[in-house]
Amino acid sequence: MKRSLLDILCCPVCKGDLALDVLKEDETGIIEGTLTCTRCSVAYPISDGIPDLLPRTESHH
Amino acid sequence: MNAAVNKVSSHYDEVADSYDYRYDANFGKFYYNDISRHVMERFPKDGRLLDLGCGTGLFVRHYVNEGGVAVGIDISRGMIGKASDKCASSDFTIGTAEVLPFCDGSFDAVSSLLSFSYLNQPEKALAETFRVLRPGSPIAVCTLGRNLFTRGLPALYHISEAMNLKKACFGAFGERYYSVEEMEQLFYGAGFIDVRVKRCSFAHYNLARPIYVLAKKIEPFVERNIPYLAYNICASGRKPYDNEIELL
Repeated sequence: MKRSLLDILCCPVCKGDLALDVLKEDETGIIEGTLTCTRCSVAYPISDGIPDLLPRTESHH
Repeated sequence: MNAAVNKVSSHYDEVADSYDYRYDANFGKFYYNDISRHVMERFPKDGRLLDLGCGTGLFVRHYVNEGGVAVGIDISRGMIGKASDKCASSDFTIGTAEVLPFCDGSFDAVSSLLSFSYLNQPEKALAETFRVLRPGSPIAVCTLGRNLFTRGLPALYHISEAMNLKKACFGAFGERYYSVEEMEQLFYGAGFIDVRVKRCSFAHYNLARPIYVLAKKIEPFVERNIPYLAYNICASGRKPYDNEIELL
């Protein structure tokens, strides 16, 4: 995932801003990390360079 | 994810490796180029596109080759992996059109090719599309329409699945095939204007070569004069500008 994508991303459920935590990054972008919603606190993983922004229904109230 | 969504996602994870043999080679490539052309008709060539159900990135690649930048979203990790390999300059995320993870007004165009029929809540997906489009920007969807041929498909899917005929069909996913009137209602209901819906595609890429060549020859005639026999439906519209909303 390229860092520039973060500018237009938001939480799929509450539309809050996402905070990025990077675990691994190379010249192509972020390989491993987490996007955490600053409003509802749900965490979305980035793995193999791909963010997974499907709603986590079990953790959304 | 609910069971139906899981089933679609798992299916596409499984077929991700072979998907491009279907749509990026031989007749399948002609077919995909045709529907890409229909979808492109109202799109700016230098904007930022969101492709819903982007699969292996075939339309993202098409749009980028035309001069724009693109973001693809799909529920299948396997398909997104293929799309990332194919279009390294583009962005991809796993997600669903029904709850889009993008800020308001982020895109200059939104497309969806051969994936709209899987949506359980098409109204929600169109409302989300409306939200993420910039005012004045277009949406175009190409999906299987309801006609003589596709009407029997759900029954065929169920029968082939019950008989465990894996090769016969894709499986029963509760897909929905729309009429022209239904697509118009969905688009207007979401707030889009300048809505146009047409039927397209007659020559199917699975046909044997001589029949395909014949079907391809008469395709423009069918699309123009007997559209009910064309199996895809291409719907487009645009989000109004703020001053147009006041007039509506």
